[in-house]
Amino acid sequence: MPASGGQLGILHDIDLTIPAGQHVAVLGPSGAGKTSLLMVMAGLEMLTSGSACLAGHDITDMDEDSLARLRRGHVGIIFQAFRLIPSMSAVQNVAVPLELAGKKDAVTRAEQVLSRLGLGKRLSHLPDQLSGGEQQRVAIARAIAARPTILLADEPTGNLDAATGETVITELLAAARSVGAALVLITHDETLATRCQRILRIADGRIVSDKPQKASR
Amino acid sequence: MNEGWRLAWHYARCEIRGSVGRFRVFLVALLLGVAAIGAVGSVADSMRAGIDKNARSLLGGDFELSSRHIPPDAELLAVADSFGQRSNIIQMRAMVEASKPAAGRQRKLVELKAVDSNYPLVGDLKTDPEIDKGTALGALGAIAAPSLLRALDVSIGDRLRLGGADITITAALVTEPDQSVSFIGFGPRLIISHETLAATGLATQGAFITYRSRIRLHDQQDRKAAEAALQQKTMDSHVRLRGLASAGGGFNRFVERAEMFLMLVGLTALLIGGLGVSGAVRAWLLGRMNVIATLKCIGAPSQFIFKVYFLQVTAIAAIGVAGGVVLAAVAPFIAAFAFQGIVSVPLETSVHPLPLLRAAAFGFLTTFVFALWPLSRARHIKAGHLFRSLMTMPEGQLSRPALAGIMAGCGGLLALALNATGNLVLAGSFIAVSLAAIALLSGLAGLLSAGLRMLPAPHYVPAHLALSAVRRRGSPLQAIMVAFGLGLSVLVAVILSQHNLVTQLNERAIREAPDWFFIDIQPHQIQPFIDTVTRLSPDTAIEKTPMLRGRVIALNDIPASQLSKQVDSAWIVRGDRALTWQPHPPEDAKIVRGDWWPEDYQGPPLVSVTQEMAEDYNLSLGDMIKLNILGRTVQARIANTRHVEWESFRINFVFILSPGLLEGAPHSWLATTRSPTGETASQIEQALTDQFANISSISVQEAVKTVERVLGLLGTAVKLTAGVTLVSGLAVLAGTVAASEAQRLADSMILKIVGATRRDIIIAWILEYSLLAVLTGCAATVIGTGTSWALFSFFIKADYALNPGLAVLTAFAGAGVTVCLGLFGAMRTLGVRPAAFLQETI
Repeated sequence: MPASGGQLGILHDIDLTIPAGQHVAVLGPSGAGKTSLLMVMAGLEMLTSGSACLAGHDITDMDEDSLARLRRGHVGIIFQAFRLIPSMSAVQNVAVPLELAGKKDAVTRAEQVLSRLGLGKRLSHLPDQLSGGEQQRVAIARAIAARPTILLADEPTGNLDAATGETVITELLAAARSVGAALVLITHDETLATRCQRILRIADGRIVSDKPQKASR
Repeated sequence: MNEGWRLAWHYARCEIRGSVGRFRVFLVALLLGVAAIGAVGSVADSMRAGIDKNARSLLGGDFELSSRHIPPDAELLAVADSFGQRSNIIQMRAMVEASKPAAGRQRKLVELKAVDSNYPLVGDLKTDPEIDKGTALGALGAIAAPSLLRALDVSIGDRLRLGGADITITAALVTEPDQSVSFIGFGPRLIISHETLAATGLATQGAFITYRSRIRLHDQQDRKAAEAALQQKTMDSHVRLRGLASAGGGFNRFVERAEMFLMLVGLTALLIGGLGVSGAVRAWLLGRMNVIATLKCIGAPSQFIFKVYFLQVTAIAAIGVAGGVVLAAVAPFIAAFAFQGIVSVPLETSVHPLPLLRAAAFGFLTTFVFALWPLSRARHIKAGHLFRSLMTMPEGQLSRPALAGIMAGCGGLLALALNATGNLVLAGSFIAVSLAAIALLSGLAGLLSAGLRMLPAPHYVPAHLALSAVRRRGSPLQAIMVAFGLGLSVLVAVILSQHNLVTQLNERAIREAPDWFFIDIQPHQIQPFIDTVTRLSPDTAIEKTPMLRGRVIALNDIPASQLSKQVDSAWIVRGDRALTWQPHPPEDAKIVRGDWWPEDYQGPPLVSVTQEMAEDYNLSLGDMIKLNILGRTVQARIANTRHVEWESFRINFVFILSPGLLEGAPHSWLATTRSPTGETASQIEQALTDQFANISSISVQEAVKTVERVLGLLGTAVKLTAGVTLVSGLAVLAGTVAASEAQRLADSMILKIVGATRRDIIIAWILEYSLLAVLTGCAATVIGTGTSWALFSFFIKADYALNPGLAVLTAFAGAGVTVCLGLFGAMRTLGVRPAAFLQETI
């Protein structure tokens, strides 16, 4: 993917392919372009030049609604600030992408995913009735509910304490494996990065290092 | 259907829960507008239904044949008799006199009604004490309205002088079934019999008498046949036929016009409410941007997002509309109570679905038009901004579908306004003027903002802070100026217009009006009349003219029934009109076209008409006017057109004919007197009515008071509706203040952190809101005065006296509320401690 993405031309000379099921950590200082890269992958930021493909689809010139439909089936996103819909219960939040995709059993599937992540007793709770860790697990459940091709996580433990963060990351990796999704994990945490199969380092919008490694569990 | 409305509604429902409170401004603004429009329509429908339901009683039968000066002919009455029972009534104005040893002689103008034994054909005449009508009216007996008894300080059994007879009050009038439906009456009612009227000698030739023959059908099935037969017989005659549909007479037209005017004021309230809707939806979406972006991230297309929020806005609107409809539905019940004793028509107090449905449609369409703009913007919220916690409302041009939707909504509003007012020009002009006013105020706010930005920063810190707050981007200047300024402008325009009408009426009454109008002066009485006045006061000015009445039958062979009813002069061809003849033009006549006839003119009849009528009906010099005068058809050619100042209090006529045609017809004279002092005026009136029992005097002062009372009533209704527009504006203002609360909190915290005292902050805010109030007040003064001037210049067509003091006072009193409300909202943030704020935000 040779790309320079973002309105300010943040990314330059990016040529990157992520195979199905691969877990990739992206490291780099603030302002290096990590989030911009993630947004390009999710089809949330348009390229000023170059091209991008997602799950076999060329997304370079796709319109916004087509990208939204593509995300529904192929992309799961996890934010640092969880981004749950405050007026919806845990199960309703998880069911949203499934309902948007027209799945008739959306709620049942959402309940199953949440139960697998240990939130079986929190199904009808609203986000503000859940702890930070629980909210992030709901966010993970929402991201994997539609069995996406790729999971994009932007510092998913940034708002959590160390112990909770550890639990959440373990569940995230397991969840990605369980649905066979590739995972792109943006983090500042070197130790966390070692739990992925590949580490990308970015600086000034360029990939400065791309090393495969044996992921630790 | 996976992205369909059902799923969108499912999400919308989740979001609505618990968020209705955030739409307070939206709800209040919409509720007020819908309630105002619905209430005006409901009350008007109640009045119309009241008239329809009581039509037979109000008309006094199934049909009425009425004529002035001479009764309907026998042939016509024979036709009427073949369909039903007939009752004949004679009405005129006359003076009654009470002679009390203690109080001396007292006179009062009365609305005299002489009835026959068949009266009333429909309904019951109720008196106090309840006595048989025959007994009450026999032997020169009379039934008097309680107000007459009070005015003359007489009671049952007392005698009154009426014309040449002494009559006895036998009962007080409680209910008159065929009482005319109107706000105005020149005197209290006095009912007598035909025999008593004959004894008074008042019904002389040429006196201003109205003859009414009511017919009650034997069989209601004959209605159409009777109408056709009577219509054929009355066509082109001096007799006017009225059926149940016109039982309300001129009152129906009054209700129609008042409804139309108040409807437009109500619509202004709704449009201002629309601005509140727009602001509330924008603020709401601003708070939901994270959710919208999240939905987008997990695959919701923009159209789906639009549906979710469109449904939420519609659901909230439904609550506001429902509230407004409920208020409007109960309005007739409140009006029935409020109008007691003011309007003689009984209101039909029930729920009238049509005006309520129309008000609801207005509410939904206004919501649609004003919410579509922010809603369409929400579709374009960037999902990617979620990663950076950088959420701003997208700017830029409206999308084509949104623009088309707004245009369609405006078209719908126009169609509804047309349906509500029945006047395309008025409805179209209203929508155009409203949008222009919004654009003007918005542009003015932008200009002021830009102008303020060019000012150098003051050295006084609170003033610097205030100026910065007003001229910064996102300041409430524009919102306050548009919404509150519009409401305030309407109020200024209404108050100035009413003040102008009343002041002019009074000023002209003092400056130009005569003291008394004298009617029913017989031709042989005019010289003795002049002699008496001259003898008593040589300085008293007398204006006199012969007068009789006639009806327009056709203009250039176009029958009166086929002439336009939409023009201002429609009243001229609607009923009987007073006419006169003169060898020379009136003293103050302004001839616009043509020439006056020579003083010794003896040729075919010529007529002088008002310029306004000539313009409205496209009449030229030489055109023919066919009139029915006292049952005879007269054709006259237009010789000239005149400009007539109806508001001058002088004797004015639409038609002045050339001499030689009408002098021989039975007629009476009309005269006015204007004396140097009030005392002389009273002496003259006393002497004249003493000398001539048949002459009635009407006090101009009383007439002005009556008109003032009607203007006052109308003014109250208009001010009430205009008040609703102001409250709508206030609601929008409150919403704007609430929306800026977070920003204000942050500002005040930072100011406190850098060392500003509470006093500094309060002074800064007072200055800020004072500046806003001054700017809004100035704009409202200019726009309100301009609107009022335009109303007088182009619609009322009267002189306009500028009253800057009142305009400024009204505008600034209203704008003062801005300061108080704004400060009240802002002060609440002063109590927050900086430490608490920092802990929450950092």
